[in-house]
Amino acid sequence: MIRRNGAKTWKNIHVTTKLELEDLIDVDNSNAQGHSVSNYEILNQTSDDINSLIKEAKLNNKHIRAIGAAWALSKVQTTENWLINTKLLNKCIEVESDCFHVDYPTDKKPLLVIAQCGVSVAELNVYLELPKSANQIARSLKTTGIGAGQTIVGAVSGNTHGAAVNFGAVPDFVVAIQLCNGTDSPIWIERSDYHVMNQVFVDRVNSKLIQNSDIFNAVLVGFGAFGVITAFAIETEPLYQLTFPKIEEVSQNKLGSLLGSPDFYSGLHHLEFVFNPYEDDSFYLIAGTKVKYETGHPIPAPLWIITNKLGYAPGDWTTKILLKLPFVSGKFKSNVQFKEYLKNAVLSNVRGTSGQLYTATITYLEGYNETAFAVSIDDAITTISILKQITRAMKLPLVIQARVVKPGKATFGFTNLLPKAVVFEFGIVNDSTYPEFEQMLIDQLRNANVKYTLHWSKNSLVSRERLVEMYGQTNVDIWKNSRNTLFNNDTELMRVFNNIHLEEAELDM
Amino acid sequence: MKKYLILPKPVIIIVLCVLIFSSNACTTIHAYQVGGPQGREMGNQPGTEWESKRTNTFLWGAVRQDVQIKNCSLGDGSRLNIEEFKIEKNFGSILANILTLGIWEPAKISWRCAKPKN
Repeated sequence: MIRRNGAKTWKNIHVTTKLELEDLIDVDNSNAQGHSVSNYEILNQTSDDINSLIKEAKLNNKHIRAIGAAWALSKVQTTENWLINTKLLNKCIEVESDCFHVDYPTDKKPLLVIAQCGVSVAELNVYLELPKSANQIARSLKTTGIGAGQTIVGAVSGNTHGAAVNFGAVPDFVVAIQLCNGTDSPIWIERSDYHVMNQVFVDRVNSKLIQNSDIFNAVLVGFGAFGVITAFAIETEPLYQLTFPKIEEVSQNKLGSLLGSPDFYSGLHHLEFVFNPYEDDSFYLIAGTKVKYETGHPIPAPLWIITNKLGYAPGDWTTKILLKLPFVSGKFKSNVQFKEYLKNAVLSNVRGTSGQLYTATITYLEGYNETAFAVSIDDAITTISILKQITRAMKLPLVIQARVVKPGKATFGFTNLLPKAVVFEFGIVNDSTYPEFEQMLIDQLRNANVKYTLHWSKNSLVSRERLVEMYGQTNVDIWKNSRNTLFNNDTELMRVFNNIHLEEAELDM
Repeated sequence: MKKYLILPKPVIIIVLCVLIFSSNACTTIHAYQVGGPQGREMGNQPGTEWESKRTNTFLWGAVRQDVQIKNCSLGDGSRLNIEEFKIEKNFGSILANILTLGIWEPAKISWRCAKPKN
C-alpha cells in the first residue's frame, strides 16, 4: 500500500545530503483486504503501486526517485520532489520449478532467489544463511561490501564493490531485473545470452520480457535513472565461510610484487590493503580465503563498532570537529585514526560466514564523507604515490583502504578496469576540501596516464567530460540508447527520473 | 539610579524560540537495537526515514507532553517496532532549561521504525 507522509526535511545516513522534500512516500507489502496474499500478488501489487506513482508524477510534472537505505553519500539517487521509501518492500521469494527457462542450469535453480528492492544486505544474509524451511539449503551471497545496511537494489545501482578479487562486485550476481518506469507494464530484463525465467513466470508477474545484454548491463548500474527497480533475481552459492589470517605488514616493494603476481591472489576470495599515507613504507595486507562451512567456530565480533562496553561513543559532530582541529597536524590525526582503524575495522585472525563478517551497520559518523575511485591493479603503486603526495600536500587526515575486485559487465561499472580493479577508499570531512582533493587527484592521475573511474555514490559530481574520460563515448551512447528504448523515447517520462547528477553528466536526455 | 539594559520579555521569548527551533542539536541521546541471529548483525536496519517531534516538559516533570508515534505501521494499520530513537537538545533548549530553573525543558524526539518481518 502507499502512504504519503507529505513535505519533510530529509537527510541521508551520513548527513552529507540534506533536502526539503515535497513528499516522502512509503510503499509497503500490506493490502487493503488485510489478508495474506501469494508471492506473485505481492510483486504485482508493488509494481502497480510504483507505476501508479510514476504516472502521477509525470502528470504533475514532478521528479520521482526511490531511496533505499540512503547510504549513498552523494545526491546520485535523490530528488527534492517525491522520494519513495522502498525499505518496507523486503520480501525474498523462492522460484517455483515451472518458472525456470529451459536453458537455465539445473544445479543453479536451488541457488536462485528473487529479492524485493527494499531487502537489506543484512536481511538477505539472514534469509540465505539461516533458512527457515527444511526444503531450502543454506546459501551465501557471492560477494558483499563491508557494510550490510544498504538495500540490495541501492547497493547494486551504485556499484557497491567489496573485495572479491576473483568474482566481481555486487552487481555481478544479479541475473534478472524487474523495472517499473511508468510505461504500460513492468519490464522483466535479462541478458540476451543468459535466460533465467520462462514466459510462465513473466506472465505471473504481469511483466513484459526484454532479453537484451546492452539494456541489462546499462540498467544494472543505473542509479535510479531508468525507473524504480522493484526486484532482482540473484544467484547465490552454497553456504561457505571465509578465513582471514592475522593481518600482515608489508613493504611497498613486497606489496607491488604481490599485486603483480596473479598466482598470489588466484586462490583468494578477499584481497585488501590499508595504509596511513604519512607512513613511508608500511602497508597492511588483509587476505581472506573461501573455505567449507563448519560449525564450532567462535562467532566473530562485529566490526566498525565505535561504542565502548559502557556505551560511550563520539557524538555525531565530534569526528568532524576533531579532524578539523587547528594547530594539530594532519599527520598526527592520521596516526591516531589509523591506530583505531587497525583495532576496530579490519578482518584479522577470524573465520565466519559473509553475514557474520561484513557487518558494518551499527555506527556511522555524520558529516564524514567516504569517497572512492578505482584504477587498474597495474597502476596501484603509482596511485599510492600520488595519494600520499596529495594527502601530505593538503595536510589532510586520511586513512586509505584499497580493495581488489574482478571486473564485471555493467556498462557504467566503475570496477571494470582490467585486469583487476583496485578501489581506493578513504573518509574525508564533507566540506570544500572534498571536491578540491578529488580534482587534484584526477589531475595527477591524468598526468601520470592512469585511467580512473569514480565510485557512483561517492563523488562530488561527474561532468560529461569526466564521464567520457572514464567510460568512453561508446559506452555512454549504449547507456543513453538503452534508456531511450526502455522509456519508448518518451522524454516527459524520462524527465521524471532526472536529477542534478544526470544533468551534470548530460545523461538526462 | 543605575540603569540596566534589559530586553523586553517578548524579545527574550522570541530569541529563545528562534534558538530552540533553528539551531542544530547540541546534545544527543541515541538508543538503537543491535544484534541479530547467530552473529549476523542487524543493527541500523530501519524501515522508515527519520520522523521527529518537539516536546516540552514543565514544572520538573509535573506536566509533560507525550510523543505519540503514528507512522510505525503499514498501510493496512498493522504495527511495526521502533528501530531507534534520539533525544536532542540544542543550545536554546539548554538555555531555556537553565534560565527557567528547569520549569521549562524543551527537547526534540526523533525515531525510525523497524522493518516488517520478511
